Amino acid sequence: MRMSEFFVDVRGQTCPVPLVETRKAIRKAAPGDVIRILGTHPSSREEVPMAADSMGLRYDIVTRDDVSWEITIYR
Amino acid sequence: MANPLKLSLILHSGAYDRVHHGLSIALSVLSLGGEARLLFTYWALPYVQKGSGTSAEVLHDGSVQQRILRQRLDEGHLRPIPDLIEDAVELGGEMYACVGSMALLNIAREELVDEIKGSTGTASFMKGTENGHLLFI
Repeated sequence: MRMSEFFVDVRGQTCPVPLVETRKAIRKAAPGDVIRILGTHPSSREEVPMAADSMGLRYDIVTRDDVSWEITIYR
Repeated sequence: MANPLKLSLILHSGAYDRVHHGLSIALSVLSLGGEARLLFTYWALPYVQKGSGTSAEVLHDGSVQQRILRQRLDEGHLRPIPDLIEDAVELGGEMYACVGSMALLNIAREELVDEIKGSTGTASFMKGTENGHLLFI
């Protein structure tokens, strides 16, 4: 089956919205899918990986500039 | 995987920021794979009453705090309470209305939003708090 990519743009949103939208996307995704989250809220940069950890999912974090970050979760 | 968090939350205050933050706490737990049950009592109950008190219109006391909240809601930087309630249910949260508060405020079951799973008493709600965290806001 072909992999799908989910994009979650939560730039400008504060907690818990980035975490909530990430969790929603993970629930919609199937095994093998990829979820990319683009955000700016500093604490969500720490909390989104916590959500991935709690579900045993692998992830990468990339700092894009002074304020924004991108996290990729592999479902 | 770590043991999931289990949270029971009693929302009593009608202050917009308290209800909002209570829902934020529940959403954080749900987003981390945990469980959350919420009981709307007393002055928090109107937030789950259809067409009443569920919007930013409740922010009318003129205080600096309420003005800040109103501005952030209007700018779209703060998610409104009805949206947080929808999010919580979508992520598996369970919402209940306190039977005693419904009688006190003369609110019938059919007047509550669809996200409310049922009405219950405090003792019944407390029975479901074993081995979890209980917060009263």
